[in-house]
Amino acid sequence: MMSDLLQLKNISMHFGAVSALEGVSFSVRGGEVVALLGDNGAGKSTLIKIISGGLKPAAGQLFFDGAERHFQSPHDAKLMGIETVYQDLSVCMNVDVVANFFMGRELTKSLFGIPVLREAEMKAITESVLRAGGTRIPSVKVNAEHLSGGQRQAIELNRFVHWGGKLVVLDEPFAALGVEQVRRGLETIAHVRDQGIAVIIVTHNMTHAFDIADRIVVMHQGRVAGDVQTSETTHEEVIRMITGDAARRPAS
Amino acid sequence: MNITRRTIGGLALGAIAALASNPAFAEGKGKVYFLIPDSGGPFYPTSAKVEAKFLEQIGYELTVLDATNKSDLQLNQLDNVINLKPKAIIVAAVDYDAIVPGIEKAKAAGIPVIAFDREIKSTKLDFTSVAGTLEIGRIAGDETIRLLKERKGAIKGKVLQIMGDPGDSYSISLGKGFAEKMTAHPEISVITKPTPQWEPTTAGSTAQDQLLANPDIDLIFYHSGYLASAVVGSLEAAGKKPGDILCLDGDGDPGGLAQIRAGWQQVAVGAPMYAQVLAVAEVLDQIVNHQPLKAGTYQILGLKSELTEEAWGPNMKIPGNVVTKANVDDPVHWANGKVPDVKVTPLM
Amino acid sequence: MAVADNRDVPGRQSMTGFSRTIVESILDNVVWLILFVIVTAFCLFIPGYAQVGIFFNIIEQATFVGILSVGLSIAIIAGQIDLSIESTMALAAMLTATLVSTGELGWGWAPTPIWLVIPGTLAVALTLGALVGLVNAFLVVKLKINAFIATLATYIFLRGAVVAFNGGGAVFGLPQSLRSIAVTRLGGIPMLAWLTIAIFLVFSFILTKTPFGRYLYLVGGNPVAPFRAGIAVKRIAAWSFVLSSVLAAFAGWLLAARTSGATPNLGLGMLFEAFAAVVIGGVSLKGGVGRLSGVFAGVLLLSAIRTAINLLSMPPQYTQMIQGALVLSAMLLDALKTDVRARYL
Repeated sequence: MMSDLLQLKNISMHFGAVSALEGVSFSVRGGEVVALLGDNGAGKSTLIKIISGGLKPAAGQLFFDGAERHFQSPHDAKLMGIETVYQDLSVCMNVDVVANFFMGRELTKSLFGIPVLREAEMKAITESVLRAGGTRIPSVKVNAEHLSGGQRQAIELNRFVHWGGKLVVLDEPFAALGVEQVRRGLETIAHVRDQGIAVIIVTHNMTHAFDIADRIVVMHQGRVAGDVQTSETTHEEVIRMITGDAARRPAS
Repeated sequence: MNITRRTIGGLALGAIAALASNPAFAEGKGKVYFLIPDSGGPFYPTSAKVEAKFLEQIGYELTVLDATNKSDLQLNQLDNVINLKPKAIIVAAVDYDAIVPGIEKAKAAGIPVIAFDREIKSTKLDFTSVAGTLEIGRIAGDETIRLLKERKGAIKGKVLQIMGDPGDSYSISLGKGFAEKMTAHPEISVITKPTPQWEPTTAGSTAQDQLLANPDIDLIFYHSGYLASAVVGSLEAAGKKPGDILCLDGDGDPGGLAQIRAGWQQVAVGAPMYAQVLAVAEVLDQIVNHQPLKAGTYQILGLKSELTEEAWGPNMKIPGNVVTKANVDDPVHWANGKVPDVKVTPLM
Repeated sequence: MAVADNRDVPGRQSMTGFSRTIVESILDNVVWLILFVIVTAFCLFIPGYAQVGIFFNIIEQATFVGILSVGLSIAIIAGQIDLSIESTMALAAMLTATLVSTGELGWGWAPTPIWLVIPGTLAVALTLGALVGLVNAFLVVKLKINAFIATLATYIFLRGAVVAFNGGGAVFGLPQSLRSIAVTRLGGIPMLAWLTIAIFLVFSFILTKTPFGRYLYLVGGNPVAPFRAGIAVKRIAAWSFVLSSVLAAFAGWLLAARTSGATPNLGLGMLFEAFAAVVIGGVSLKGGVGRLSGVFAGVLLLSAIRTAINLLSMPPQYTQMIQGALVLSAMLLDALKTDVRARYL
């Protein structure tokens, strides 16, 4: 069994007098999809913000890739290979797929000392990465605005994988997507996992969680109310955890 | 002409407020206010400065208010000034209609009102001192005829008239006076083009295009010397030499005088600013004392001027100066910036 | 997995991709098409229009609005707006003219050799532009004042500065060496026309081929995405202001040479022409969209129309109404374009 890529130990977080997280321990392995479930206000957003460097925990430890980390900003976390994908937040609709794919990492050559884009090369790389990732789009020269939400998400995921990401947090990845797009999205996530990448999916949709996740973690009132292998639980049990009527922790 | 009469909306935002005011004489006769329309160009600020100097000689203290080309602001200024009970108010109106209610209020308060450079014909005034734009246009027409006759041996040819802003009353009257003279000579064809907002680049482009479409243009009459530099720039770019095309302006702005000196321009017909200003100073005592002015012909700075009794009161019309290379340095031209050192003496 | 689907439809996909490309390129270049049609019509119906000299005039007279439009496009593409360009241009012209004018208001700077006035005044003008750009950038990027309001303020302030500079006076009498920029022809084509074309080519290259140009589009499209990708979003926005101001100052420097001086109202109204050209050229005011080739066509279109009005015999009072109507129709065209795009692409 692979060791944990990310491990949180006894994380607590307070906003003034309000306690958002209380002694949360949580872990993900490489090549594992974990679904993070819970009602609004259960602490999911706070938890993923801590993971991606957006918030600093009041107490507790965060281990990533074999060492304790203290992320000062999302940029820190990103440098380590952690990224949060919000729907369309990291996509520029007004430029083509290639430009989105290479955003901030453009390949250039020097022409009389002026950096010039290596457009053909970037196009070829984008095409091959998307093809390998199983993403179907009409042309990589088409602007992102002409793509479906699912296609854009796939591009973001492929981009993440290509640039050496290790842990991706997907925040409500299937909101506002059609049935077919959800199916493709699930395929893409499976593809990402198969490359040894850890995936955390924050969702309200239990069906999606059961479809894709290897493990389900349920938050309730700032605590972990359940942490179970998908194969060893049922919809009913997870619902009881979400509503606070049951709690189950791994035996370890 | 002077850029100041132009519609340069919002242009004067930077240069505002009282431009000239002199300490009152110990035995001062009181305060006079001068309401100028704008300071977008040198004409009105200079007029005001010179007027202050002349009035100081005869014991009045002049305060200048700039309306920055806003007729409503000028009306407010007039209302405020009335409360200060000055000896007289001189107005160069932003708008000759909008200012009338204010003038009537001043008259009701017993304060004499003098119109400067811009005629106000819809109410009775105590004095009006104008150059007569229409007249300047006529003189420009006569000069055009003279120049064409000298150049071509006959009164014929093609003239490009570059107007100012098509909505500017100065440019419109100038064009009217010019047209009067031109219609008498059908052998002269006139092409007229506007320069919205008196923007010189536009005038330069107009000249450039017209020279290509009408290579036989003999003379260019631009309504202001302010446009001279840009028009001459186009002539130069088109490969012309000084004198190839005759040039003429209709306001005696320093820009035109510079081109006369450089040989590009032959004639400027200018507003006789110093005489206009002096005329006001030389009748002020009488106006303040409510003594009648006698109609007739007067010499003001050597210019033969007509004082007539019009529906809007006594009207002093001073003819425009014709500036040529021969007299371009004459201090009588306001554009030369040499205020004449004259003693202000009552005109009558 | 989806790889199988991918092989399923390549034929159909490249078809739609191909026809989309064609329709897109027609929509993108529709301004050039209109320019061609209108100029042809003018040539046929306006006496004196159909000659090479007139075409040179059109390009030469497009210089100032053209260069302003390049700067304005850069600012707008980056999601900003710069209303101050016209005043910056006028102030740069006034400064240039005053520096070297031998007239009454000029300072008569005459270095030896005299051609040094060219690099000298250019350096002064461009420095002025850079300073204005930095002030705008400071107001908008640092103090987070709305760009429209901030640059409106600098627009008014700088125009006031132009008026106040010489107490409302006009400056004339520039040395011949500086004038030569506007008078010289290179290969029979006016120097100003060459410069205008060069500016458009250089900045087209920067916008389409360099990472900086790419970042301008990214920042204008969705500033969050490039920020998350580690791009210095604020610095890009600041550069867009500096570039638009420096370009405006360059236009002012040329304008002083062209009009052989400077007046307080120099260039008045060119801001609106630049806006019209930019919008006609297909630059979206929402940011992130547009190409300079379209803007160049827009600038030439306005210049061609102005020249036509100059040559037409019609009462001068109608000039501005015609220009206004044309700008409005260009806007409608733009709306139509968006509609076509939304419906068929």
